[in-house]
Amino acid sequence: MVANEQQAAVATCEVAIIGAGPSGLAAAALLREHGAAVTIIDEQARAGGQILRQPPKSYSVANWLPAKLYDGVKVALRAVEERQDIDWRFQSTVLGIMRPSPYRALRAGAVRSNHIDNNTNVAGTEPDLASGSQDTRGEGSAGYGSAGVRDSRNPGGIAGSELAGVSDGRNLGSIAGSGLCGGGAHELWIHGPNGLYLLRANAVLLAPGCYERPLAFPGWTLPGVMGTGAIQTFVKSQQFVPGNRFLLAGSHPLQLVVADQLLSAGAQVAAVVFTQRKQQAWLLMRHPLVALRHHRQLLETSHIFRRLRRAGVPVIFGHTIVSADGAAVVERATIAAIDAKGTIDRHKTKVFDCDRVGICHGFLTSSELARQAGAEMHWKDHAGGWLARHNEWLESSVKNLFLAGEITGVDGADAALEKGRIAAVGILRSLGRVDDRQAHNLAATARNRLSHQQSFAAILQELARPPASLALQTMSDDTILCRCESIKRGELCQALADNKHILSADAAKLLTRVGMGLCQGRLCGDNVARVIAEARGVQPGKVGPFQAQAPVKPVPLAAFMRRP
Amino acid sequence: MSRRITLGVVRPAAVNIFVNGKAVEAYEGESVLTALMAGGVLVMSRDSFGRMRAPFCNMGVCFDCMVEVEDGSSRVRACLTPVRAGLRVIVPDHN
Repeated sequence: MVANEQQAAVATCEVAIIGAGPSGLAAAALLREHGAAVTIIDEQARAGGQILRQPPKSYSVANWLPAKLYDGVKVALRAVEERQDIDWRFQSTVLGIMRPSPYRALRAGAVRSNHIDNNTNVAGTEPDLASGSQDTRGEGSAGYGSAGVRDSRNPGGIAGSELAGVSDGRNLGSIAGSGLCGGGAHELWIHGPNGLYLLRANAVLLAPGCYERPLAFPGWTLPGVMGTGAIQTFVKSQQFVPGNRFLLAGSHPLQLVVADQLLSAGAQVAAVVFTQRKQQAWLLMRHPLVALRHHRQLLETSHIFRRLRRAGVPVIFGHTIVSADGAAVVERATIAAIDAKGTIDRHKTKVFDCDRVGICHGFLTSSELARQAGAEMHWKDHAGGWLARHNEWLESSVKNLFLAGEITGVDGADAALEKGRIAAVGILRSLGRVDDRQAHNLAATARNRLSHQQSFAAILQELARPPASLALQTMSDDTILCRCESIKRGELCQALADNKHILSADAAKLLTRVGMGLCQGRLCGDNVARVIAEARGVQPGKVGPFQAQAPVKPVPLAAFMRRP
Repeated sequence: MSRRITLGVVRPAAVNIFVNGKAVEAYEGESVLTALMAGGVLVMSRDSFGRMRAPFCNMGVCFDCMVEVEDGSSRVRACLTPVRAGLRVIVPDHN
């Protein structure tokens, strides 16, 4: 829509959606239908999220992702992808969801007024408190005045209450009562193609999705070991087969889809290995809810099994990967049997030659922005680790910070569409664009569909769950736990033995540097929590995640030097 | 070896990027990570312990595919960086 306003130091918008995946796209469609101005931010170059990672725009791909499982999300993508009345901001990373800071306002005032003319259109018809109007208030310091105003939009602000007392109380009152901007606006700190800037939004929809839960085992840092989703993305988006002979090991049914896609692309698949025992998988598949409502998925799965068999690909149940070996890259992988109690039997092993290993043990939510923003979280292991709490409108504990997609529980893409719609209605309601009764009517269908999707998702989560102690069994003391800082499990265990007071992931981080590197604990956090939980005899949820702080992803110092 | 899928895929005309000064064929819009791997590069950097770092997530989460671009003036995630003609990338030598 407005490309050049990315150059402004502070931009404004009505609703900012973080994540252009299924839930973000479905929300955008509904919000636009009701006249709300929408800005979508995503790190990728195109819309679709991880499930629909599209090929580059410069490519043309015949018969892209033909499988039926993509149909629902494809419809949602096509409905909004080309819309010019949505402000798309791709290749942009949200570094933080900030409370508008009264202190920063003192310094940023000049910059804001310079750029504000570029920005007023972006917000649609919304009054912009940052524009010239408040500067006409006259008496007192403009700096303190604007600080107070900013704080009035954010009653939860910490430092603000003191400053509000300093500022002019009458102005505060009149502005707080002046409409939509009256409470809970947020500022997103964004690193985009043109540098760093702030985007102020009356409401934020956080739909950041999830990523693969990494299993640590000897050799998992060897070049050639990747997430199975990473391999799939190379195939579906880059139209690239990232190796020659693949071994896929894990617990998630996604492995079957990826094995099938690899075969179609002409790759060799050495084996597909499931931690589940065959009986366990069949029992759940025959669950009446699955059999009745999801016969299409079951049928598709049985087709895949047939194609794998025809290609001579062994599908092995009741086994886990225990090591990957090779001089400079993976040359072979070893799997071992798991008994009925979930214990690895290292006497029963098989070795496969392969140059790539994909691991796939379910997903972890991308929870860092929710945590950084101060949203209440709770831990639900097989539903994605740390999830954000929400009310019936998918609003988090932080006012006007709404949630959709996997961050509320990894329920899959079809459920994400419905969550996006419900959250969009919640936002319309919060912005005063619909009343309570309209909101309930608007959300009714989505709620109904979501409850069906979630009962299926619950079964899938149960089906896709690896044995609880798997990660603790596959890691040896010599296994690298934290890839970024090269910290081994043994080092963490030693630190825990020497320092009995350490109970949290953060405390372990301060002592050992575990989780302190570039990925900020996204890859090691889950395994670190398991190691600490085992040492202290508690659940991983009690250990807590690493504290998330802005910037939640690394920014080059050069970006701070560049004036946008 | 890894390879690009060609059946049913139409790419724009090939361009060159320069990996440690050496020309490598690539396509505008594909990720630098894909171009590197298609050119036989799997190790993107070494950490301060000398350990080789290779891509893991391919979606911007793991930061294991950070490479130096241009003249070492900035580091980017190769998986999120699209190829443009003439881009200079620096990776460890032994690849």
